[in-house]
Amino acid sequence: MRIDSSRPARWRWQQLLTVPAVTCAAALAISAWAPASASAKTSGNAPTVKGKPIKGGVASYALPIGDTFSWMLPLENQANYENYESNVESGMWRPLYVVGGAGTTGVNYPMSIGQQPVYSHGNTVVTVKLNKGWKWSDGTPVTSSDVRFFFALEAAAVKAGKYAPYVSGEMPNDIASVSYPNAYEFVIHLKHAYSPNWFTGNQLTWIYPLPAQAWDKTCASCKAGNDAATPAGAGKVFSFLYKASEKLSTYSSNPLWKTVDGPWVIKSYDPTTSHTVLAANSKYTGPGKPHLAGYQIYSFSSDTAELDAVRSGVVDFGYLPFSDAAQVSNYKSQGFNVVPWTYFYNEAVEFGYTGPWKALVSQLYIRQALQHLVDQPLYISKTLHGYGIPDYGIAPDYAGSNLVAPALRSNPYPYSPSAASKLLASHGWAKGTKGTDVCKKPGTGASECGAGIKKGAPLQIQLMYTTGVPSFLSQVEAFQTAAASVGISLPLNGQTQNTMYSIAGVCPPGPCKWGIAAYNGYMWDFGQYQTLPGGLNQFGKGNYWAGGYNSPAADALIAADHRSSSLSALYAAETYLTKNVASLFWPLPDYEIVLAKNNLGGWYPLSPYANYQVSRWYLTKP
Amino acid sequence: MIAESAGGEAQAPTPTSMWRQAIATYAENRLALAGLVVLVFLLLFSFLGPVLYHTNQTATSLINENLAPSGSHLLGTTPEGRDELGRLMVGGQSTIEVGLGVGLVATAFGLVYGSVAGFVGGIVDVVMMRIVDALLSIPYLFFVVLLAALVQVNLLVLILVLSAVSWLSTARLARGETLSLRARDFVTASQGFGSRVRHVLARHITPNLLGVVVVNGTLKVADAILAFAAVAYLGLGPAPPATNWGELISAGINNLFDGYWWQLWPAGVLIVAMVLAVNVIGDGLSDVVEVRLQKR
Repeated sequence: MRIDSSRPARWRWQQLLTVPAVTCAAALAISAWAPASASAKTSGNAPTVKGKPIKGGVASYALPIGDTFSWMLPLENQANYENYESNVESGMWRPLYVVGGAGTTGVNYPMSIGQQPVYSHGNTVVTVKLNKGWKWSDGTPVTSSDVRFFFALEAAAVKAGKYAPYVSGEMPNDIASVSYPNAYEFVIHLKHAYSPNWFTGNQLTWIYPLPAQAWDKTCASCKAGNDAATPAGAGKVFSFLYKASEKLSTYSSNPLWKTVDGPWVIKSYDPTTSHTVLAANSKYTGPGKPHLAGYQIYSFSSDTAELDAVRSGVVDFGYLPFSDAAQVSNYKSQGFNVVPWTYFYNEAVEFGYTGPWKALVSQLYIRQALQHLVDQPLYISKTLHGYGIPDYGIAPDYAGSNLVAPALRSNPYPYSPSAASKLLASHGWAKGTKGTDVCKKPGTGASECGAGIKKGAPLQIQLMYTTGVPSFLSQVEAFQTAAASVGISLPLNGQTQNTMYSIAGVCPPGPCKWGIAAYNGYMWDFGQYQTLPGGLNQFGKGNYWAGGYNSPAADALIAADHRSSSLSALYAAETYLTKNVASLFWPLPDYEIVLAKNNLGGWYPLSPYANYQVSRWYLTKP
Repeated sequence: MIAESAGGEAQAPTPTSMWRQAIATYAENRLALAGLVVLVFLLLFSFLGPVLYHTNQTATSLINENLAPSGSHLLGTTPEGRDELGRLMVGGQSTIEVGLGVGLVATAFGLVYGSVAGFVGGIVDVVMMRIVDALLSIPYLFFVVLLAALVQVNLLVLILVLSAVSWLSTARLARGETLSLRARDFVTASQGFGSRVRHVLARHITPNLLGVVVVNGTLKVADAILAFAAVAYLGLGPAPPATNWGELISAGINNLFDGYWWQLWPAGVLIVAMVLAVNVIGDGLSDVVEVRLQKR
């Protein structure tokens, strides 16, 4: 997964309250901390849609700058573990559990194939029944065989190292076995007892029933059979499907991708521009049938090009760059609907715990000093023009969410250069001749610089950041200025987002030219695979996106959260990660400032998971 | 030039130094003269300006972002709250340094490379020029993007990278001229007296190429400035707080619809002025080199 779009974790679980008696204890525990409102807050003011809704028509949306839909198989590798990719894929292949809805978070059972799971035997057995009536576009019913096929492919993908959601210890490692009593039911036997909230929200949400009758084969001309029944066969089937997903030029012609159970099916795809056209699946049997006849996805390489496309009418649902926020009223007067899209992801700037600056960033007091230099209110008000929310931990300060620890509703490390300066001075740092602090007291004592830092070593850390986004550059430079004011030198190293994906993370290997890596946008997304900010994927042992952060205390708290039905366990993990400054928590900009034509309706309330939910969209006529 | 006395008696020509003749020829081209004035102004603006107009171009000040021109900020402020006029001065330094640096390195290398290929000829010429052809097919942005991922981009790296893709046309030009020169009598005579290749190249070929190549070099300066602006526009230039005019244009375009004209137009005007100035200076130098325009 990745960063700007990477992993997920967000929640909603209130609908677990009606579980059977065997799980009532857990349910009661859940209800004790579930949000009072089943729906999270919606973003911005309601748009004005003019005209009468019509059936049919083709609408379009613009992906954020540089993002492209380029992966079909709903088993994503690292390079394609993106919210916007999952969003499109899940429109064609329905996940077992759809997450999020119009302004809501959590599992959306009414829209899902799976019924609410039932936990039994001390939360070690999970029984899932499938809703009947769902069919593939070829008429074959969606059954538990398709879930079995998914598990076979998932295991093969994990073995091949090509399954991005996977993290050691989680699915399929936490599953002892799966049984299939009948065509519409499967039973998962877990190795340990897990919190139903966590397992449903962060594990079962990975499951996509897949069309075994069309995909269970190892070559294009082969007849679908039962190849995936064995691990070796599943590996071959996965390899075949994976390669097919790599062939962008065949997306619209490959019959594999025409067998769907979701409301949409691929119609055309341009591998050069990534322009994607999907048509409504006329054989769709599930709830929420699309109003549109189809929709298009456009990708752009610059804000200017995107804005031009919206202004010229090519794109129905685009966005206004943050730097043009002053133009909101102008666009409104032109008839556009302009709505900020606040969402529930998190933004964190990672430390390179294994790179050349590991001695410095491994010192808690240095991380704390740096966190004291992040002026979140200023960044939000000046660089984002108010279009962002504070983020003090793995769950952002999202209005209406009870998933944020009470202790993190306010900033534990408020902007304070004096506090940062005091921390450094109390650990043996003093101004050097060039204005940068140097270590005067090497050693590991309480008032000394810390392990691995030699006498005279400068307090200088290379900061790699995403180029091309003016508002983000302003934040990074303001942070650099604040750091310089207390003696911390942060030379900047700008890289494109794609380059950062390839050279950040855990280092070595790679050109380790960074001690701090700042990605624009968000670090972790929720709602594609994870609905709860559990933290394991982001900060657990063996993580990639926290620069190799390794804390047994954090691991223990995260593990406890996964097995506890109490919010306090989550809060404890969240609070620890924040106070330990596992990453530098940073304000979360809105996903975008939506700029939509006023003849497009249905898109509001917006999804807190930043999903486009095109099935709800409709066009109007005067 | 032949002077005549009042009595119509011819007098010996007044000796005129080569430099004086060149200056006189250059001065006749008013546009080139204006270009020189502009260039001098831009040099003073960029390098002397910061001495007279003090601003902090290292630290940002978000509370002062996007301020309109005023008494305290003559050309307003940038999105980071820095003084725009001071930013233009600092940006001019790197822009001019890259332009001149690339012009110098690319011209010098291309001159040597092309003259060697043209003079030696044969298989050496073929191999050397095929290398040039191959390198010409690679877009310079490819180099820049690649290097930006591998090394920390700074002015020196940029000068070397842009030079690496700029010397090619100079080499072709030098080679063509050398092919012509090596057939001249004075070259043949020198060879007949037993001069070594290195001597002939240094003494007879290169000096006669200088005129053409220097003119070409001025075009390289202009091209390099534009290329640097393009690279910076894409965010691949040196990291902040360093800046240049291309980067300032990029920032200005982002605020194009917000009415912050001071963030866009001044940098654009400066780049255009710089490139035009260098180009017309090149025209003037071309006049100087062109024998037929010289008064003898």
